[in-house]
Parts: sequence; C-alpha cells; structure tokens
Amino acid sequence: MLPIGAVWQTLLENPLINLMVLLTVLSFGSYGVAILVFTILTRVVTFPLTLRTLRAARGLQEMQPEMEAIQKRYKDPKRRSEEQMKLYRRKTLTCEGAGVASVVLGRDVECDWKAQDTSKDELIKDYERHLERVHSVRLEDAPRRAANRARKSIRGGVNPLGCLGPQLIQFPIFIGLYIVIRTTLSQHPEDVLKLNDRLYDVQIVQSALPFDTSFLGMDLSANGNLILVVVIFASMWLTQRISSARSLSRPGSQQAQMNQMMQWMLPAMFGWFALVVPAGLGLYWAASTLIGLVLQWVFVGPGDFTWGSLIPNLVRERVGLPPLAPAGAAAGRGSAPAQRDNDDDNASQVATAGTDGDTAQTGETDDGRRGQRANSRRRRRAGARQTRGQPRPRRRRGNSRG
Amino acid sequence: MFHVKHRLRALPRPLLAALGLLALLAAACATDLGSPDGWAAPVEADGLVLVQANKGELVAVRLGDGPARVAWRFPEDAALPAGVDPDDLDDIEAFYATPVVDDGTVYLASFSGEVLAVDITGDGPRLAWITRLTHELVASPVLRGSVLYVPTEGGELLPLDADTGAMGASLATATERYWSRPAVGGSAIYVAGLDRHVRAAEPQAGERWALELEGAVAGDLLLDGETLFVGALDRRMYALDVLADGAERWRFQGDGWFWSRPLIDGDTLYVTTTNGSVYALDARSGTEQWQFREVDDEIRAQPVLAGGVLVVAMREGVLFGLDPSTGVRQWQQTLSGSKLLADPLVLESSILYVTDGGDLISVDPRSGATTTVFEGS
Repeated sequence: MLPIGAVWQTLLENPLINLMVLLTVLSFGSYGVAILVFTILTRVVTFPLTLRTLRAARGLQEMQPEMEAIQKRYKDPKRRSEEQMKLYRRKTLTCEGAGVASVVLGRDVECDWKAQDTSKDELIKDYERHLERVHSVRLEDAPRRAANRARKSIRGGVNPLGCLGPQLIQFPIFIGLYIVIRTTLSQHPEDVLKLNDRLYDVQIVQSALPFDTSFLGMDLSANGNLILVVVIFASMWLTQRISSARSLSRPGSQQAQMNQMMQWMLPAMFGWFALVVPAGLGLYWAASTLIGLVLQWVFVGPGDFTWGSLIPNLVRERVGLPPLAPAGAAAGRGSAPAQRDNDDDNASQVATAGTDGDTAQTGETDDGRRGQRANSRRRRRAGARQTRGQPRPRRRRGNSRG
Repeated sequence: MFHVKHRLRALPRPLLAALGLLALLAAACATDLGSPDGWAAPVEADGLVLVQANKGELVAVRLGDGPARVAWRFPEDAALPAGVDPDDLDDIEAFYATPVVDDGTVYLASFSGEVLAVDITGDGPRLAWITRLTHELVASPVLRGSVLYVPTEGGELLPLDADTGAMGASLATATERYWSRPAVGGSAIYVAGLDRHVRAAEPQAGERWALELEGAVAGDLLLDGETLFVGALDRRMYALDVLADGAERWRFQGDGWFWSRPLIDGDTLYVTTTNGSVYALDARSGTEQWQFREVDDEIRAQPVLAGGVLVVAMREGVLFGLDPSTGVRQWQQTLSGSKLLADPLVLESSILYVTDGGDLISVDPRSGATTTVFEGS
C-alpha cells in the first residue's frame, strides 16, 4: 500500500471504523442509529465552522447589490475582480461592538460601533478608539481575558470561500465514511476478514460483528435507495432556496441565474451521489443536510422564502391565490436604490464602503441598526462638512471604469 | 529549506486546499476494497485434484511426476442437460464453499447462489442438475445420505435432493447469514450463523435446540464424539455438549477471531486466530498447552498435521511447520505475492495449498520445501 494510503487508514479510516463499530454497539446493534448519532456528533464538532459559514453566506448575500453595482460599473474583468476583492476585504461582517463593549464594561451595551477599515488590526484600533471616545474605557484597562475575548470577537472582511469550510471538512469525512460503510457493511467474507486488521484490540469492538444492516426498511449496504434520494434532493433544494434569498439579486442578473442553477444543480448532483452509493452513506448525507437546513433556518432565517411559495402558479390560479413573482423579481425592487445610487455618481461610494448603505449585520438588533444609521448619518454629515470647503474631485471616468 | 517554505507560502490557499483534497482522494482510492474471490479448498476426486483456478471456474488437474495436466475445466468443458443454456453458467461467481465429492459426483455451491451437481465419471464434466437459490452461498454444504444440506446467506439450512436438486423447506432458520460449514453427527445436523446462535436440527423434526453465544460464528464447526467445537468472532472457542442441548463444557479466550476450522488429534485441539496465533488446547478441558505466534497476520486456512508436523498458513503467504507437541517452529517458508485463505488438501506425502491466484502449491511437511505444481489464472 502507498504510504499515503497507510496514513489515510491509520489516521482517518481506522478511527472512523472503530468509532462506528462502538456507536453501533451502543445503539443496540443498529448501524442506522449509529450513523445518525455519528452525523449529530460531526455536526456538533463542526458547529463553530458552520456558524462562521452561515454568517459568511449571509454577508455575501447582503453585499450582493454592491457586487452587482461593481459588475455593472467596471467592464474590465481584472479591475472588476480587484474591486470585488476590495469589497470583500472592506466588508465588516461581524459588528460585535455591543458584545465586545459588554465584555469590557461588564454590562449590557447596545451595538453602537461599526467600522469599515481594511484590516483586522485597524479594526481593533478603531474599536479601541471608539471605546475611549464613547465609553471612556481603555481596552488595556479591562481584565486581560476580557480584552482578549474582545479582540478575538472583532473580525473584519468577508471570505468569499468561507462557505466552503465545513464542506471541505466534511469532504474527507464523507470519503472516509464511504469506505467505512463499504468495509463494515460488506457482504464479502474477505472484507470482513480484513476488518480484523482494522479493529482495535478491545473486546467490545472485536465481538461486535456482524451489524444489522437494515434500518427503517432500508438495506444500508445496498445502493440506490430512492427515499433517501428524495429526502436529500428536497432538503438540499430547500437549503439552497433559503440561503440564496431572491430579494437580494436582480431578476436576470448573473447572480440570480447562478442561484437558480445552484438551487437545482447541487440537489441533483447529491441526489445522484445518493443513488450510486450505499444507503448508509445516503442516510448520513440526508441527516446532515436536514440538520444543516435547521441550522440555516434558525441562525440565518428563511429569507424571503415562504411555504406558500412552493405552490406553483398553475395551482395558485385555480385556488385563487395571487401568482408568484419570477425569481428575483422582488430583488429588482430591493436593488433599485443601490442601482440609482450608482447612477448618481457613487462609484467611489461603492468602492469605499461597503457599507454605509449596508444596514444588515449578523446578529444585530433593531436598536443597533438605529444606532448605526445614526452613526452613518453623522459620518456622512462629517464627510460633507469636510468636503464642503474643498473643490469636488473630478471624476476620472477612465480610471474608475477601468 | 527557507526557500521551500517561502514558496509554499506563496502558493494560493485554494490551490493548497485543492492539492490536499487530491491527496486525500488518492489515499482513499488506495484503500483496497475487495471483490468476492472465494476460498474454496482443493479436493481430490477420481485421481484428479479439483481447484478453483479462476473466480467461478473449477479446474481438474491430474498430478503426476511431470508437470500437472489440466483434465478439464468447468463450466467451460461441461456437457449440459436439456433446458440449461450455456449462458446460464456465465453468471457463476466465486466459490467459497469447498466442493463435496461423492461417488463420481461433485456438488458445488457458488457465491451467486447456484448449487450444481457435476458428474465427473466420464471424460469430461457433465452437469447433472442446477438449482438456483435466492441467496448467496458462502458456507460449504454437507452431504448426508442422499440429501445435500446447504446453508445460505439468508440464514436458511436448505435440504436438496442429491439426485435431482429438488429443494425442501429450511431446517434451521437464522436471523443472519450462515458462513460456517455444518457438522453432521447421528441423526442431527449442527449449524452456526452470524446471528450468534448454534442450532441442532433433524431432517424430520426440524430444529431441536438453539444456543446463543456471545459472538458470531464464521468458521467451520468440528464435531468430535459428543463435543461440538465452535470458534466465534468474540475471540472465544467453545466446546459444547451436543447431548445436553449444547450445554457449554468449556470456553477458551484467544487473542483474535476464531475463523479457521479446528483440528483435533487425540486429546489435543489445534486452533488458530485471525491475530496470527496457533493454540494447542486440551480438548477435554480447554486448557492451553502451548501458543505459537510470530507473525501478526490472519489465519483462515485450517491447520493440518502431516508427516508429524503441524503446518499453518498465514494469509500473506507465510507457512510454518511446528512441532505439534511443543509448538516449536521446525521451519518457515514464504510464498511471496500469494495469499493463502483456502483450507489445504493433505495428500500422501505433501500438502496442497491453493493461492488467491489459483496456483497449486505443494508443500513438503517435513522440510517446508514448496513447489508450484499448477499455475492458475
């Protein structure tokens, strides 16, 4: 065997095999229950990463109008890409000012800080200035642990690949589990004999074989369970649907088209996978997707999705319901102001910031939003005062358009 | 070193992630997932040695002083009865079950679920009958009188008429697969399955008793007088009293699964484990007399006694000749690149092992000298 194969077996497959065997024993011999327990364990372990992903996904959604403005404004792909990357960096996702201030001050504080600096260090400096200015507190004066927590909780920027984190983590688990399921549920005597090599020298694990491969009427070792295919397709479709809120992309825009495509392509792809792999793996994926759907719903919300929107127009007409707007139609309305802003002249505003016009922040409250809007207005006024006495910079059409 | 580090840092993270994933994929692909190859033991019939040279193909080899000659191949050379299409035999998969030879007829049980009776009294093989079962077959069948008892993957012990292949109702039904060859004694048939049960059944009365063990049973059973020896996957060897509804006489805790068929010689029981251990036990009490373990490798093939030497074969092709009374190693031989999983065939002056590639290897039990007498696939 290749050295990398041995490493793979020792570090991933064998622990997974023994974990699954142990879980099966603890699940009274039911391999199906063991897979469900394993799925929950995996989800618990990767939860921090999932949460980060959900936030990143939401951030990407929220900056969609600005992204589209950039796309519209800059025709040169290189320049457009640069501007998009600037936007990613600049975007402050986690305005956790309230939380940070609460940590430092030891009392509840409303979210009253929002920064747009480019780097994490500058964000922290900005926040320190804010604490001194508004709350008369120096971060250095806070208990060290509180200060560290505060620093850690300040994050800036959006990682466009942030959503891939849990998927990347799940990828080796998925492959490993595929092999584990094939190995442990194999019907071939040779594979069972080989399993002897893989099991740790523990009596409870060694005497666990064989496993009950049936679960809820399914044969977990057999390929092509249609029920699981349907569950995976439906849950992934719904996850995609609520994670790509239609109100955030214009109808017919590239983003809207991509969302549309992803909404059908991903479920179809994973539905196909579920068809060609053992049902045990399909069960894992179905359970994992359902948990992901619930997390998405709880932590990000359903967006503009309503259950009623699942009723097709054909049926709606018959039962007297108003027809559904095409995907992204609401977005046209939602993104129109942003478009108008751009038309006005605000290419530079789009480029700077992301986020004066951006009110949606992860986890922020209405009060927080009000505070931010006030701050935003103050900053705009201050900016206006600054620029009032100065000659207005000439627009350099050529440069700004790349 | 610095440059390498520097260059690695210069690589974009997505590229590194993609490379990492590719490496993982390559590693996953390197994991060997087996296909059913079968481990039917070679048998002697009518001056021929029948061996599974390829998956689902039985070759009759005539051994002599010179090189071995192939007498015929089954199903390639088989004469078929009316109503059997040659294409029907193309689906035959590997043979795990050791063929049963009786009075010029060979009974075969394939992993794909066919039971076949082949008449070998003529110049070539002639298929007498074929019965297709609904489940796969791993355990070797046993013949008692004119009935062939076939344990199946569906947990059935099916009686088949040896003359016609007509099938009767299951005698002892388990909730899991049968992988071990039953033992026959008196009027009873003893069978054990992966459902951790040992059952005794009689052709007329059906199941007489069932005893639950703590581990699944995959290895062949051995009946010696009133004692049934059962090796289990809970790393225990059980001795059961068949006259007392399977009451346990003793149990012995080994260091691995007991999968190979035990060997009894006088009052000594020789058993092996999948951890590479060979034990000599007192057959009456289960007391350990000696243990031999030099290689960490599975032993699936039955240990055999020949020429006063106990010969043991490891899966990866290492053979040991041991002193049966002390367990001291007499010789060691390695067949590189061959896997030994099938039970051997003991001839007058040699032992025949069949490798996973279908080669027949003759081993001199006194010296350990090996000779390839037939090359399979």
